[in-house]
Amino acid sequence: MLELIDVRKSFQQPNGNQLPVLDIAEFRAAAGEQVVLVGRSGSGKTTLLHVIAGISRADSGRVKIDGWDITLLSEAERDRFRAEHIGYVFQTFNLLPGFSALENVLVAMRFARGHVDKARARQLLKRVGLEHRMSHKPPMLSVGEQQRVAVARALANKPRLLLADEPTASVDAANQQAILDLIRETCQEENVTLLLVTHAPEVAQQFPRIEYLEKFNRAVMKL
Amino acid sequence: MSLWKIAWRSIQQRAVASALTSFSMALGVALVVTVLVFFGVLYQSLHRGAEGYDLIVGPRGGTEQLVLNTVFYIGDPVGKLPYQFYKDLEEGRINKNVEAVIPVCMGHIYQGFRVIGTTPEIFDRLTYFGGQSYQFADGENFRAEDPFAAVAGAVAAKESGLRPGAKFKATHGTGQSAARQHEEEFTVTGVLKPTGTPVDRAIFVNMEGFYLIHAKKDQSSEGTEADGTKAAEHTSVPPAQQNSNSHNDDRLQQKAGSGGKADGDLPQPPSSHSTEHHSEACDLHDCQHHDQDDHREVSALLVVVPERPPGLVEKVAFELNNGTFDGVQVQAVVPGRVVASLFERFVGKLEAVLLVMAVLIVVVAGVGIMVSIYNSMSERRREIAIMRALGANRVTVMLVVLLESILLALGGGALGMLLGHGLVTALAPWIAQWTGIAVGLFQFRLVELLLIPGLIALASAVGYLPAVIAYRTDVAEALTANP
Repeated sequence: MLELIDVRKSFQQPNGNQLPVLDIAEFRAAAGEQVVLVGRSGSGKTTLLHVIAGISRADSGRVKIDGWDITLLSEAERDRFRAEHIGYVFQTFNLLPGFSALENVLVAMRFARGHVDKARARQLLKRVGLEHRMSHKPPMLSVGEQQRVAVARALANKPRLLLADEPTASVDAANQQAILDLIRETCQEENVTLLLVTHAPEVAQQFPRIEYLEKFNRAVMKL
Repeated sequence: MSLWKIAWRSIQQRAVASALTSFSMALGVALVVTVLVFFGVLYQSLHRGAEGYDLIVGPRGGTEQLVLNTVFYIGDPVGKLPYQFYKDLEEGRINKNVEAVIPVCMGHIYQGFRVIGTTPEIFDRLTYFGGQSYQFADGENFRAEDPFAAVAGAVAAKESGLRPGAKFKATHGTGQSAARQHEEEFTVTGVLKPTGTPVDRAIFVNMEGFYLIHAKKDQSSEGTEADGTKAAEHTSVPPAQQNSNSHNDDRLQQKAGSGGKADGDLPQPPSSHSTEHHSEACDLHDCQHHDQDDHREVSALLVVVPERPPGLVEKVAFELNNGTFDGVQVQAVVPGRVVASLFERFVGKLEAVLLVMAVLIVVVAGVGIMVSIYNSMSERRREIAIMRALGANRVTVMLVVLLESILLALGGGALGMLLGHGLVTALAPWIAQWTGIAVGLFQFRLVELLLIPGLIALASAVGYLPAVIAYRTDVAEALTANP
């Protein structure tokens, strides 16, 4: 389902030199599989997710999702592909502050399909336990509730792949496990491939497959 | 969820800044609307006075002076036309395509309001503004057989206190030149309802009364008037006409000196006035009609031409302008065209200057919207990046910013239109008093509709810069930056 081959990504430093961040020979994840990527800070976790989501473009290599090589797509095509096939849960939730919980889910549908499915949006919010908070805007929600909205939003367009970037890092301890369980359960229910990055061992050890970036990202290995 | 709603949510996010920028746009648009409506009323007001008849016929001279004096009662008459010319035109001896002729005699005022000598047909036969008939708020029209009867316009009556039954003495001259008050009193028979035309600010008397007070005046002074009005009435006739009529003047002087001016046109002797007036009118009957008509003069004639065939007005005007009638040369003008020309030359330019200034204010308000959105872009980079991460492409986020700009401009524009019309409505009592035109909250001018595409174009232009910033936002960088 997800296939990375010889993916390289580097950033230009202020002195003009290139700083390699990703150098991955090969990485694969099967459909419906739940994989956790573990890496220390600066190991390229977020950059890898951005490249897979098509937010950033790899310098070289291939990134295939469901047979589509997104490195061959234009930026607009990648935007559309991301909207339709990929869900993204950010560490800092990244909810739109002016929109209610329901609208945050609907807006993701609008960008993906041009229209919205309110029934599904409500169902997803109910699934994450926010049926009574749908009209509340992010500032009126607790941190845990905001991340639940983010999970519902990520699943709004029935993605094939869910990328979660340290989704529990900004959540208090009481909510960490609940959020993690929610993500894993909903992905399982919707048969979504989950790729979750974390630096927390207690999170990683709950997953059947754990990958350490330091072991397969040659850019990090060279450091 | 439409892009409009997404843009609206962004506006709500910055409610105070958005409201302020939108309000500045509202003020600009209100000014534009006020200027447009105000000048619309002015234009309407000017045109109203020139409706109801097809031509103004007067002595050769300044066309605009003729219209200003006859329609708006401004300034002095161009000159005088012989009374016989009026009768000949009225009775079809000069042109058969004339349906009605209403004489207008100037040269007197009462409490600052022009006193116009005319016939009752001016209110019975003529209409104003879209074919409306003159109506009386109080009393009735004066009658031809009552030479010292008068009708007051709505404003003149209100400000001078004239009402049916009231008597007044007209003063010879106009404005600053008004010098001597006549002894004879006119009696008001009716007060007109407001018309929104210069008629509101004038007093109309039976033309026969005019001639009678002059006959009496001539009788007493035996000649030249101290205020110069008589001189104006006679010497303003073109030289050729003066020469041809000089014998008439002499005869007039002789008649006045030998027992008063006769008026053979009075159908009946006056019955409701003083004995002096009555005897004067009786004396007039003793004179020969044509002889009298030779000495009378009118300032101008309001001419009605049959509607069909089309182009008849121009034909009649051409024939009058190019003919000589018993030594008299006249000019015939279509008042609406002269009024339009006057408006364009004087008022139109003022309107254009004020409109340019108002539009500049709107543009400045538009720049304010640009500054407001531009300043918000740094704090919105993350918001835009989130939208992009959710699948919105560059054009979509650019559109959202443009729509936000358009919403602010249109919102301000709508508020401005309300403010502008509200202001005009608040001023409506004064406008009605000055012009007689009742202005309502929803009295729109079609040109106001141009504000909608204009504001959209302006908002698109001023929203373009922040929209480009949104377009160029680096999603990965904005997402990884600290919130």
